[in-house]
Amino acid sequence: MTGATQDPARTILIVDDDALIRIVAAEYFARQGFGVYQASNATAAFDILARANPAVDVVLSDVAMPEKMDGIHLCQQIMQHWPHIPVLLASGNELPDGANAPAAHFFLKPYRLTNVHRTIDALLPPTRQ
Amino acid sequence: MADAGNVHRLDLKIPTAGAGPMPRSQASWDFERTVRDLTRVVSIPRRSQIDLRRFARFARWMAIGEIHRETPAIFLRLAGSGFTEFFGFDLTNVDYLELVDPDIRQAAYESACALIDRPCGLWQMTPVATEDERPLSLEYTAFPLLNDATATTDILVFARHHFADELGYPRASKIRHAAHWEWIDLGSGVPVAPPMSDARAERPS
Repeated sequence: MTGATQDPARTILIVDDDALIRIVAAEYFARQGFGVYQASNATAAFDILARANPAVDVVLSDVAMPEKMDGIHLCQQIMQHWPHIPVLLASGNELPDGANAPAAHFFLKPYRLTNVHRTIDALLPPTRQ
Repeated sequence: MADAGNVHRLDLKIPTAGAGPMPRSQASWDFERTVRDLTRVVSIPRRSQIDLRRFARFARWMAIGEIHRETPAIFLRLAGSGFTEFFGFDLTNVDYLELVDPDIRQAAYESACALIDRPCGLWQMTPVATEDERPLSLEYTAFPLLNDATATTDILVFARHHFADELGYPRASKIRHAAHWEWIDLGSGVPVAPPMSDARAERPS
């Protein structure tokens, strides 16, 4: 985990196979005081969710990923196993009609990190411990 | 902090064109070396080659520019937190040319196109006006970057603001004429004309 503090008030898991996006997003959220976990695919994300300490508070995930499980499937699995964790999905394309993605929010790429941050603030107020 | 700002205002030595060589920062050289490591087999680094461990240290001041030749525009598709603090707003999806002094907008666009068309890299030291009229320098190191997903070539930029830490990130208002520059040869040579400056004047009429 990377983060501005060892005991961050909030932690985010960033899931994207594009390392450049992960690097820049991780640096941004760490600077904003988040604890940050990163995963390049859904399998790694699942592993982090199961073992993370401190626990993950929010997930920001790309939709298209190279392995079998894409972001939509990951979102569904998170809702099943960790229903308290909001998932923010992002994609370069609109979600297909009928996509059953119980995401708290959807961002069209390229998204502004400041907008993602504002959305997280609305979902998880900064004062929450 | 206010005292420190006053001291630095007096001490600032802003480079001007023709004032002699301006040393590149070690960070800029390190960034070039890191990118060059991606080009051992191919002439243009690929976005899929970017790896977390080697590039994370540059994240705060990295940006991706996407050239739109029909507009023309250079839309920033990713911008590190340093840019957000320096300019006062998130630059993602902003046209970089809108941040540039109108007098050099065309030259800035042509420099970016040359960087992709050659392909080659570019280092430059660029004066930036702040909202409170303090002249500062922003150091850019830029390379073409092949986007595997779209098969298009974007521009990967690493910037370094020489006085930001001391001055507490004064808000930038306009990017001006590059004072010092150097094309970086990636194996395909470099353009004859200097970037963001007299490029048009040096063309045959």
